Amino acid sequence: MRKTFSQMIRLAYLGLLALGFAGPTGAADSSQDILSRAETLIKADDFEGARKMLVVARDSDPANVRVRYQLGYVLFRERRLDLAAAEFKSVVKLAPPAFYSRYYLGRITLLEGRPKEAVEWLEPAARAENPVLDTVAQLGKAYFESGRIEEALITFQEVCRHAPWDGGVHYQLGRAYQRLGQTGLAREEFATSERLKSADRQAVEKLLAFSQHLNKGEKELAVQIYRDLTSDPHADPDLLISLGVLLANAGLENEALEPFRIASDRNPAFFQAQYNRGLTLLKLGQAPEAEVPLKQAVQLQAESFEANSALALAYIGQERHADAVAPLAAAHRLRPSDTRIAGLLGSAYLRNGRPNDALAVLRKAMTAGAADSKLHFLLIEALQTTKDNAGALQAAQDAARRFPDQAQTHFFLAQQLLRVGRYQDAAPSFERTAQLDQGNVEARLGLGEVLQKKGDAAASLASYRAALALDPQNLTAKVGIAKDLALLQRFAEARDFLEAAVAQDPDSAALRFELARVYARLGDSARAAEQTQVFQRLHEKEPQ
Amino acid sequence: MRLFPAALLLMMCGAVVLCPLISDQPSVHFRDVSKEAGVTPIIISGGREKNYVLEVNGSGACWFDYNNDGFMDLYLVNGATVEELQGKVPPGKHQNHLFRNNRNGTFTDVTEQAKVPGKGWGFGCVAADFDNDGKTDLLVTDFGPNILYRNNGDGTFTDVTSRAGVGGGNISHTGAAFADYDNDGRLDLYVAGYLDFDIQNPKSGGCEYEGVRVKACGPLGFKGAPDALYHNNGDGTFTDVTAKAGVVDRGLYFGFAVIFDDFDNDGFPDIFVANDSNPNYLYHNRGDGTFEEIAVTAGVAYNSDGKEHSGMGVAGGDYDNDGLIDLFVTTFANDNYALYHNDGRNFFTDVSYPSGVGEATIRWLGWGTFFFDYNNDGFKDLFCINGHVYPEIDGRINQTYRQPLQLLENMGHGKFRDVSEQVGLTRLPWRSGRGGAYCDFDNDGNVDLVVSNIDDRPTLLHNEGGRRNNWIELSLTGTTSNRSAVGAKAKITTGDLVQYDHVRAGGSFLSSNDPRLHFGLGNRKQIDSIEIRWPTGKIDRYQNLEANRILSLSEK
Repeated sequence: MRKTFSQMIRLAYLGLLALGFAGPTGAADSSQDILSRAETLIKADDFEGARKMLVVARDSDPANVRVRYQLGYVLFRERRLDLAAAEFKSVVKLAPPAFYSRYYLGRITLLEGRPKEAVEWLEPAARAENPVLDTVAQLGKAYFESGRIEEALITFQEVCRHAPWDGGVHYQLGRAYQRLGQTGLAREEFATSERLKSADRQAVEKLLAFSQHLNKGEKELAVQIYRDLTSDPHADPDLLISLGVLLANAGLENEALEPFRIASDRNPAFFQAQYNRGLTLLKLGQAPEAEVPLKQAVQLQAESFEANSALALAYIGQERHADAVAPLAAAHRLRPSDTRIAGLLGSAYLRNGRPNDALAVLRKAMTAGAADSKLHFLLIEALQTTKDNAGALQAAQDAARRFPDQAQTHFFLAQQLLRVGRYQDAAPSFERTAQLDQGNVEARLGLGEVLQKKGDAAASLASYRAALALDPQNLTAKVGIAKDLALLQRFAEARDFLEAAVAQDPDSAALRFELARVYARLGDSARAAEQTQVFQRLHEKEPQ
Repeated sequence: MRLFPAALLLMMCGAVVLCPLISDQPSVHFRDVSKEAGVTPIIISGGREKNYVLEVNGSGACWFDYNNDGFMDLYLVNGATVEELQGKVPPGKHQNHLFRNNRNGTFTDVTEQAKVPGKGWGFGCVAADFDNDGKTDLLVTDFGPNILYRNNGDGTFTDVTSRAGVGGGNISHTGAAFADYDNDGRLDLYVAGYLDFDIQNPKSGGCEYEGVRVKACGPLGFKGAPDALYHNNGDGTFTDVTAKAGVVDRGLYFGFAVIFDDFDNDGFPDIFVANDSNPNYLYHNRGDGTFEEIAVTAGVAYNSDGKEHSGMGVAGGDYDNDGLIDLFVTTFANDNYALYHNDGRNFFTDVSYPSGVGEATIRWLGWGTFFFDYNNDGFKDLFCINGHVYPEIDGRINQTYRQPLQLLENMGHGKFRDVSEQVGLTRLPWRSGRGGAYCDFDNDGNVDLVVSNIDDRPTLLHNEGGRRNNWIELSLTGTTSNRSAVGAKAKITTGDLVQYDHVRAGGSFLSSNDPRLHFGLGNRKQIDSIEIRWPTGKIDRYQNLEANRILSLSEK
C-alpha cells in the first residue's frame, strides 16, 4: 500500500509536470532558456550542439515557432534537408506567412531538384513588401529550373534593379536570354557579368556603400560617392549604369539621368546605357527626348522586349499611335504572355483602324490574362469597331460576370445593350454602375435615357437631375430634364428650365428643339416658330 | 386482322381527339397563297446588282375594286432597268399587273385587257374615284411622268394623264395619296417627289456602308425632287396648287410616303410626308385652302433626339382607340421605327420605346407598313415589310439583305409585342420586301396581306383566322362627299369597346390598302352603334347591328 501511494504521488507529480504546474522551473521558461543558449551556439557555427538543445526544446514545447525555426535552420546548415523541411513546414503551419521558413523550404526543394515546389514556397515570400534574404533571386532560379524562363527573366531583372553590380545576376539574366533565343541580349549580359566580376573591387565596394547610404537615408554620404563616380573620366560604364539603376530604383530619376548620359555618350553602342537613359527620360515624362536613346537601344538589340516596350510607350506618350504599332508588335512577339503589352498592342491596332488585328491579339491574350479587366474592355471595343454587336455584347456580359465589383464592366454592358436596342435590359447595368461609382455622370445619363424610353419620366428626371448635380454644365442632362418635364406635362417648368439652359448654351440645337416644342405646347406659337428657325439653322451646321 | 384496322381507327380518332389538347388554342396564321392564287409576276427594280440609288426602292401594291363586284382586285407596280430607260436596250417584258379577284381565292392577270400596263419605271400606286363616276380610278407614280388611269367601267382604263395634268416633271415620283383637302366633294392629289436623277448620266461611284463598299449610294448627295399638290377641278383636270396651298417642298426633301388624314379632328385633312434622310413634313390644313408646316413643333419631324429618321413608309391609325389618328413610320437599319402617339391639338409624342416597337424594330430596315387588326380583337396591330437596300452586305456584316416580315401585336394598353413567329411569318422565306398593303380579299372578315418583293415574286398572305373573333367591315360611298368616301370617319361602339378609323387612299410605302374600314370586335357579336362623319360634315348613325358582315353604307 505504501508503494502504491508512492506511485500515486509520482504519477501526480508527473501529471502536474505535464500540466506545467510542477517544479520551480516551468516548461515555457525551460524552452526559452534552451533557445537562447542554442542561438549562441548557432552564432558560433556549433550547429550540432545547437541541434541537440533545440530538439529538447521542441519536444517540450512543440508549438514554439522560434524553436522550430531555429532547429530547421540548423538542420539546413547541416544539410539534413528532410528534417529541416519538416521543421520549416511546421512553422509555416503554426505561424503563417512565415516568409523566412518559406525561403528555406524553397531553397531545400531547389537543392532536391524540385523547382516547381520551390516556386510554390517562394512566390508568396517574393511578393512581400520587403522580401527576406535573396528570396527573389531564389525564385528566379526556381522559375528557370521549372522551365518558366520568361518569369525567370522578369524576376532576375528585378533582382538586378536592386543589385546592379552583381555579376552573378547578370549571368543569370544571360542564361535566361539564351534559353529564350535572344542571343544578342544573352551575349550582352554575359559580357556585363564578366566585366563586373573583374571590375575594380574598390569601385564595386563604393557602389555597395552608396546603396547602403541611400537605403539608410544618409544623403550626404551618398552624394559624395555619386560625385566621385560621375566625375571620374575613367569610371567603368557598367558601374555608372549600376549607379543610375540604384538611383532610379530609389525614385531619384533626375539624378539617375546623369550617369546614364555619361555612359551612353562615352559608348553610344552600349545598349544598357541607351535603354536606361531612354527609360529614365520616359519616367520623367519626357517622351520626345526618350525617343532617340530608345530607338538607338532597339537598333542595338532588336530582340529586347524592354527596349521595344519602352519605345512604344515613348510614341504613345506623344500620341503617335501609328508609330507605336511596330515596337509593340515586336515586344508582343518576344513575350506573347505579357498581357499588358498585348493590351497596348490591341489598343494601338484599334486606334490605327486595324480592328481585326486587335481582335486576334486580344483574344489570344485573354486566354492567358482573363483576369485583366482592361483586356476585356479592349476586346469589347474591338468587337464594336468590327460591328460585331452580338460579340461585343457577349464579351460585355462575360466581363460583368468576371468583374462584378467594377463599375466599368457594368457600364460597358449597359452600352452594349443600348447598341442592340435593348434599352429595357440596360437599366439595371446603369444602376449598378452608379452604385459602384457614385460620381459616374455617364451612368446617370444612360439610366435617364433608358428610363425615359421605358416611359418612366419621373424616374428618368431624377436620374438626369443627379447627373446635372455632378456635372452642372452637362448638356445631355439638361436636354433629358427638359424632355422629361414635357413628358410629365410640366410645360411651364420645362420652359423656365430651358430658357435658363439656352441662355447658358445658346448654340445647342437640341435645347432649341425642345424649347420650340414646349412653347408650342404652351400655345406660344410665335416663340415656337422663332425657336424652330434657330434650331433648324443650328441643326444644319451639325455634322450628319 | 379485322381488329387491326379498328384499332388503327381508334388510334387515329384518339389522335384527333388528343391533338387539340396537346397543342395550344388555335392562333392566327398567315399562309403564303401566292402560287395557288396565281399572283406570281417577277417585280424588278433595276438590275439585281444595285448600282444606283434609283434601283433600291422597289415598288408598291394597291387593292381596289375595279369592276365593282364587291371583291378587291390587286394592282402591282413594276420597275425597269436604267439601261432600258437610257434606250441602250429594248424595253423588257416588265409591266405593271392588274389581277382580277376571281372570288374563289384565285386571281387572273387582266392587265392587257384592262390596258393598265404602266410604262417606263413604275414606283407607286393609289386608287380612288377621282371623277366621282362610281368607278375607282388608278394613279401610278413613275420615274418621269405619272400615269392617271381613268376607269371606263367596262373592265378597261384610259390614260388621261395629259388632260388631267398630273404627270409631274421628269423626276422620280414615289408615294401618292388622294383626299378632298378643301371639302368640295372632289378628290385632290398629293404626290411626293424623291430624286432629281439624271438617267442619261447617272451618278455612281460607290461609298461605304458599315465598312462594306456599296454602289447604290444615296439619296444624300443627290438633288431632291419637289412634291406636288393637285387640286381637282371637277372636270377631269387638276391644277398644281403646291405654291398656292403653301406646301412647297422648300428643302427639296426626298419624299417617300404620304398620307392624308385629319389628325386634329377639325374636319380638314392634313398631310403627312415621310422623307428619306430628311425631316418629315406635317402640313396642317388651315381650312382655307392653305396649309402650315408644323412637323417640328408637332413632334413628328425628327426622332425624340431631334435627329432625322430615314422615313420610308407610313401608317395612320388609332392604335389606342382614343379617337385620334396616330402615326407610325418605318425607317432605316439600326434606327427604330417611330410610333408617334397623337396627343391632340397637333401634338405627338414619340412612344417608340415605351410602346415596345422601338426595340422590336431597331435591327431591321422597314418599308411598307400599316395598322390593321390581324386577330379581330378590337385593337389595331402593326405590320412591317422589311428588307435592306444593299445586297453587298450579305455575309459581311451583322445585317441581311433579305429580312423577315414583322407583325407587332397591339396588347391593348399602349404596348406592342412581336408575334411574327407565332403567326408563321418567320417561317416564310426571307425576302427584300418593299411595298405592300392589307385587304380582306376573300371577304371572310380576316384581313389578308400582299407584299411586293424587290427582284422577286410578291407574297400574298392569307389570314387563316384563328380564334374567329367577330368583325365588321364598312364599305362607304359618298354622295355629296367624294364618291370613294375618302376622309370619312367611322366610330364603332360595341359595349365597352369604341373604335375609330378613317377612309384613306394611299399610305404604307408606294401602296394603297383595302379602302373598306375593317374593325375587329373580339367576342362582341352585337354592334351598338356606328357613326359615320362624312367629309362634308354630315353625320349618319346606325344602331343595333349584327357583326360579321360587310356593310355598304352610303351618305344619306
